[in-house]
Amino acid sequence: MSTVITLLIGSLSLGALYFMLGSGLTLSFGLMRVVNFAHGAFLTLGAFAGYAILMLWPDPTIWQVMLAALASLIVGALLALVIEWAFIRRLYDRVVAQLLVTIGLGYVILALLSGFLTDDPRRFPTGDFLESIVEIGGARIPAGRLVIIGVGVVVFVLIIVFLRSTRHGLIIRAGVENSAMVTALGIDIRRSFVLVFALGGALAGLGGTLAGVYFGSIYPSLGQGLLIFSFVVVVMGGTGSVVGCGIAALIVATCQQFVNFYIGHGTGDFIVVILLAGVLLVRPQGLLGKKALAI
Amino acid sequence: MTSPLDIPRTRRRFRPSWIVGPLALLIGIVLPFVNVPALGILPGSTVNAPGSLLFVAAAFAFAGAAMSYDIVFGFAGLLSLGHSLFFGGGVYLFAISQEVFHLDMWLSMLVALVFIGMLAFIVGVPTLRVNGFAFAMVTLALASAGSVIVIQDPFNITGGDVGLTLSGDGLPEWLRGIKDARNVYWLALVVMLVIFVIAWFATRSPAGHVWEAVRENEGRVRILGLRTLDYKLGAWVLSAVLAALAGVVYAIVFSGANIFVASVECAIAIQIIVILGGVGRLWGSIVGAFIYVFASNRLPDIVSSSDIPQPWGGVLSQPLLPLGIVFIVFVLWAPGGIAGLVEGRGRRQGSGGLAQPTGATP
Repeated sequence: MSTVITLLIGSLSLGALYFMLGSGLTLSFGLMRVVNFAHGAFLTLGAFAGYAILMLWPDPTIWQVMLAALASLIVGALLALVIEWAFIRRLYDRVVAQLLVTIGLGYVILALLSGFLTDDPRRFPTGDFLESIVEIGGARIPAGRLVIIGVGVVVFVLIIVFLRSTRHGLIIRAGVENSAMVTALGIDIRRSFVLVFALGGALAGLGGTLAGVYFGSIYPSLGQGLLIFSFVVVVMGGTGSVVGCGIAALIVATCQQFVNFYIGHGTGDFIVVILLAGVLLVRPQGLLGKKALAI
Repeated sequence: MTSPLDIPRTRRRFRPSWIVGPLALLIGIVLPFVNVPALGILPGSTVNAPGSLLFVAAAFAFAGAAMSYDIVFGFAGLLSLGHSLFFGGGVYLFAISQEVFHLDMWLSMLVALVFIGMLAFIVGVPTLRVNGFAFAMVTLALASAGSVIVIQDPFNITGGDVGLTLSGDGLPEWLRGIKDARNVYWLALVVMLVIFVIAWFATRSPAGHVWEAVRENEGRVRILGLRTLDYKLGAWVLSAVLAALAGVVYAIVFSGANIFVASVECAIAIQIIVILGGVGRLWGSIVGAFIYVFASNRLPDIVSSSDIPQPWGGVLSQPLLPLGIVFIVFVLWAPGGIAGLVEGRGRRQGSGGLAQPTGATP
């Protein structure tokens, strides 16, 4: 029973990580058909920014971890703004070119990090509070995992509130449904997009610190591995749907954790792919996507 | 007396490729006899040293893989980020047939081609129904899962992290030793040519024209009454089998299988090769393959043996740095690739640029 609980908590926190990455991706794609393969780099750089902050103190308190999280969030947002300005702006509506350019960017950033910082994993110092053990139903859970879940839930709620209750959120939702109409009504959807993209970058950056807490160590290719599954989550949940992304994140993470543990490491990833293909066969627009993706 | 049927035959305009192509082929054939210093461009001391020949043979293997991918990407317009599943699959199936099941070379080759063909069919039937972005992500996830399975090695046949080395017992006499580097080289050359010819004829066939039509506007092809799924599936399976063939050559050239060939990085590498060389132009993939193999194999050696101080040396020896930058530059400003630059863009409508992924009609 305690194994199940450990796996469950692991699934929820991993799902939170996928959601942090995927929510930005799903809104960017839903709103402006923008695919950003460099999103993983946002996470990685956020993680390293958080790491740099945490290295300033020998034994970080929870407040200093929060500072690191804030730093990674800011770094992610800034990087997103730079990339949007330099590259994405030229490539609206050219999905293939975007995909390829951002793939290239992702690898260039990865190469720069690997070159300057080497590929060795660095232990992510999370401090006593996050490393303390909590007992739940006989399972020994690091407090950090619960914090990740908490952050994930809070972010989810905040995004939904933002989308449902603010004017900007309304524009974004309308844009996801029909961007041409929104533009025709005289609203500059590109500004909303820059906001969405920066928000996605911020969440990815924050996800970097959380990933550091989850895995305990960080390395340059941290973002890439998580990114692939984040894309799976986005497609499964339906592009443009934040709720769908959240549900899919939970499904994918749970499937991975349980199958990898009980059947064999790697089989979980395989089953996730089968799941994705299955969902797409039955509902090509994903679980909660609005329309069949006709790009 | 002239009849209406005496339509004057226009002469084909002379194209430089008529000379360059056969010339390149000739150079390729006689390369093992060229005893000229390699000047650091090739790894061996001379152009026909075994190291140099194997280096060129590796480029041939990648060129074959890239040409096979060009069929689905350049001609049928399907962006698949998982071609390493077929290429790497071919490498591993060949190596496994040789080392674990001790089949002879031809039977191993057959196993690789047939199984990858079947895999492509099984994978293609559900996934080809989905449009561009989702399709790309599914293929990416597939390649990723395949990569994990190879590394985790649940049945203990792939060699896990370390990979598989060919002991050479399954290979015929003329391919085994270092002295036979020439024969390996010629084998790689021949296979690359076979792939080129097959791809060339396939893309010029009626089916090939349908592929290009699907790339441009799948909905319209459907309205014309053609079952696009069948055509896409055909391109997909053909591409996979050719990739597996290239994989077999890779296994022979590198004497085994390694985890790179099944990885997402390899699929991205193939994508880079096709973009650099020129989407929809088969010979471009050959050029792109040479650039890629040079950048990933020679560049780090050249950088580390020069006197660039750390950490810059470390950064510059990452092959994906120059490759990635050049890749981005090409996608933004030269989407026709090197072939496009050489032939002048606009000469070929549609195949020089990057087509949008075809959407499933709602």
